Formats: sequence, C-alpha cells, structure tokens
Amino acid sequence: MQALAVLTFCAFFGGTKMADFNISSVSGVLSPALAESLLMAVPPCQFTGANASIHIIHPNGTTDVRHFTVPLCRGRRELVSVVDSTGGFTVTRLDAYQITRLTPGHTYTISYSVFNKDRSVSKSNSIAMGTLNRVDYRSIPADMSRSGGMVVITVLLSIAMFVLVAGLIAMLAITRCK
Amino acid sequence: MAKGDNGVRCFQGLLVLGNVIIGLCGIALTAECIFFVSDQQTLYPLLEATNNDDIYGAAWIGIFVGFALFNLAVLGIVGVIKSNRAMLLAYIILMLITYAFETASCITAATHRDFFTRNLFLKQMLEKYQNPEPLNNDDKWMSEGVTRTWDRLMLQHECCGVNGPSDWQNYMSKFRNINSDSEFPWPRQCCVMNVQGIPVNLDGCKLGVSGYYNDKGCYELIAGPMDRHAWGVAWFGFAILCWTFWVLLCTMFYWSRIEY
Repeated sequence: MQALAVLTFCAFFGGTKMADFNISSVSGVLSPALAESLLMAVPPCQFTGANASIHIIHPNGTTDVRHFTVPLCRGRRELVSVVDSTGGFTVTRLDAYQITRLTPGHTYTISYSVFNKDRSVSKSNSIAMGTLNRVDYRSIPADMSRSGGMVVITVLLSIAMFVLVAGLIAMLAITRCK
Repeated sequence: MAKGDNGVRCFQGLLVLGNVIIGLCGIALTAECIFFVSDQQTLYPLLEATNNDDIYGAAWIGIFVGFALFNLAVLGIVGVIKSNRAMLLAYIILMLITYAFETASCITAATHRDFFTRNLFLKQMLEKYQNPEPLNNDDKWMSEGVTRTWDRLMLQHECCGVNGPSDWQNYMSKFRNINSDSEFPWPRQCCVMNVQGIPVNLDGCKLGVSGYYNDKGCYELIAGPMDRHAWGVAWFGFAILCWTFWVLLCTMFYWSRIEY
C-alpha cells in the first residue's frame, strides 16, 4: 500500500521518474503570481553554484528554457535576491527566480534541471502556476446606490418649500380679503 | 397693535432671535463652504476628471447663500422691530429665493456624494493615470491632473492604488500600456521611500516583498474628505433650512397681522 502511494505521488508530480528535488512557490511577497511574471523558489542549497535550467511549458505546448546559476546559500533562503543593506549589515530577504514575459490568465508548468559537477542531471518535480487574469477597466461597473439621507433631504426640503410658497400665497390672499 | 402689546413684543423678540440665529448660521455656512472650496487635500482634479464635481458647485452656492442669509437676517430684524410691511414683504420674498437656492445646494451635495464609490475612482485611475494618448486637450488636462494627484497621494500618504497594489495587476490600464510588468508591476510611488524620496529597496518593491512597498489602498484618504465635504454642505444646510422654515412661517403670520 505504501509503495502504491509513493508511485501514485510520483506519477502525479511528473511522470514515472521520481523527482530529485521539489520546487515550490514563495511566501513573504504580495503574490508569487503576477499578471506577466511568476516567482519560483531556486533549487535547494546542495546545488549552489551549479548551472541550472528552468523549463517553462506554455499552454500551447511550446517549451521555453532559460539558464541561470544557482545562487549561494545565505541564511534564510527563499526567493529573489533582495538584499537589505541598512543598519551596517546585509540581510538577504528573498532569493528566487522571476519568470517574466508571460501572458496574463495562462497556466504554465514549471520544472528545474540542475547540471551537477559529476555531470549528472538532477530534475525537480513539475508544478503548475497560473498568471493573474487582467480585466478590462471598461468592464468595471459604475455601481452607485442611493443613500437614505439623500431621500430624506430631498423629500423634506421639497415639502418645506411647497409649504412656504403656499404660506406666501395664503398670506397675500388674506391681506387682499381684508 | 395696541391690544396684547406684551404678546406682540414677545413675538417680535422671538422673530428677532430667530433672525439672529439665521444670521450667525449664514456666516458659519459661508465659512464652511469657503473651507471646502479651498480644497485643502487637492482632490478636485479627481472629481473634475469624473465629470462629477457638483459637490463643489453646491459649496459655491453655499458661500453666497450664507452671505445672503446674513444680510437678510439683518433686514428681517429691522423690519420686525419697525413693523414695516414693505421691508418684511421684501424679506419674505428674498428669503424664499435664498431658501430655494440652499435647498438645491443641499440636495445636490447629498445626491452626488452617493457617486463616490471605489469603482468610480478605480476606473478613473486606470483610465487616466499616466495616460500617454489623451483624446483631446480636455482629456490631456484631466489626465495630467489625475496623474499629479495620484502621485502626490501615494507619496504623501504611503498608499498604493484604490484598493492596493493589486489594482495594477488585476486590471488593464493606460499605465500598463507604457510600462512593462516586470519593471513596473505598480508605480514607483508605491514603494517605501527614504528621506531623499528614493525607494528604500527597488527590487524588493518591484517583487512585492513586505516592508518595501505600500500595501494599503488610498480609497479612504479620498472618500473621507469628500464625504465630510458633502455631508457638511448637505446636512448643515438642511439644519439651517429647518430653522429658517419656522422663522419664515412666523414672519409671514406676523406680516399678515400688521395693521396698515
């Protein structure tokens, strides 16, 4: 049963070959998925300095391969190199790979390949991430609802105005009768 | 009016007091509306671009109505003391005209306040902020005003967009047409700035790393002053009109009882 579960897990995450390492999305940012870019965690620390490729499978089936060098491990290691140098010391806030030039509202399948020093290739699992969908601003509804205060003001002041005009006419009429 | 002199004097005293209060309220209304028209938060360009700036029109009416109320109150006091029919008739007619104008101002302010929703400002921001191709000179003027106002708002109040930085990602915009998503996921003004006005960490801001970008929206900073403006003009004007209504009715009664 356990073997079956493991096999099912592997099949789900990238075919019959088991992944050498896992990749994931990030935390601590507004959103790992923007409309035209995605933020992916870099391969784990054991691959530091190695040449790596990120494989991006587009919805139409084409594959885009981009190459980079796995960055050094520095303390807390998550996404994109955002280095904070205030206070006299350097803290790496984020270590990640930003995939740019994507299309809004599409889902991409992403995986890594790392070329080890012993010439072997380590592959990651594949994960699917979707870019945010961009809505046309012209479709934003101009919602507006009447407040009770507006109705009260309009009704009461209209009645008051009518009463005053009627009072003026009555006043003049009474004087004329006298 | 020989009979019941005490009653008449008392009634005259009430009318004088009523007019004194109208005069004071008139001055207060003028001062309040001048304050609103002076637009301390410089939000007028946002309303101008929505073609929905009638609350400013209502405030302008309020300035002149307040001044008129003060002058008419003086006329009313003199007319009541002298029991002069001509003066009081002029007072009643002019007061009715002023009443009508103030009614229009109150209703306008209360009605147009209802338009100030998030979607109104969101749509306008996406349509006009850094618009590179305005349709005509009028649109160019409005787009520049909107851009200037939003830049100032986001820097001064450390906010971004109407609901937050996600506005620039979730919707298409004129800003997006000229700025690449990777370099400008949101305007630079959304970044946390140092004292020199430079982003503390530009990469962190661009990637949405907490602490390097402003994550709160600016809607409350826009709607708050505008709501106060609209409610101030509408409800204070309504309160003055409620009081003036009774003073006018009593003055009409007094006028009808004055003997030639």
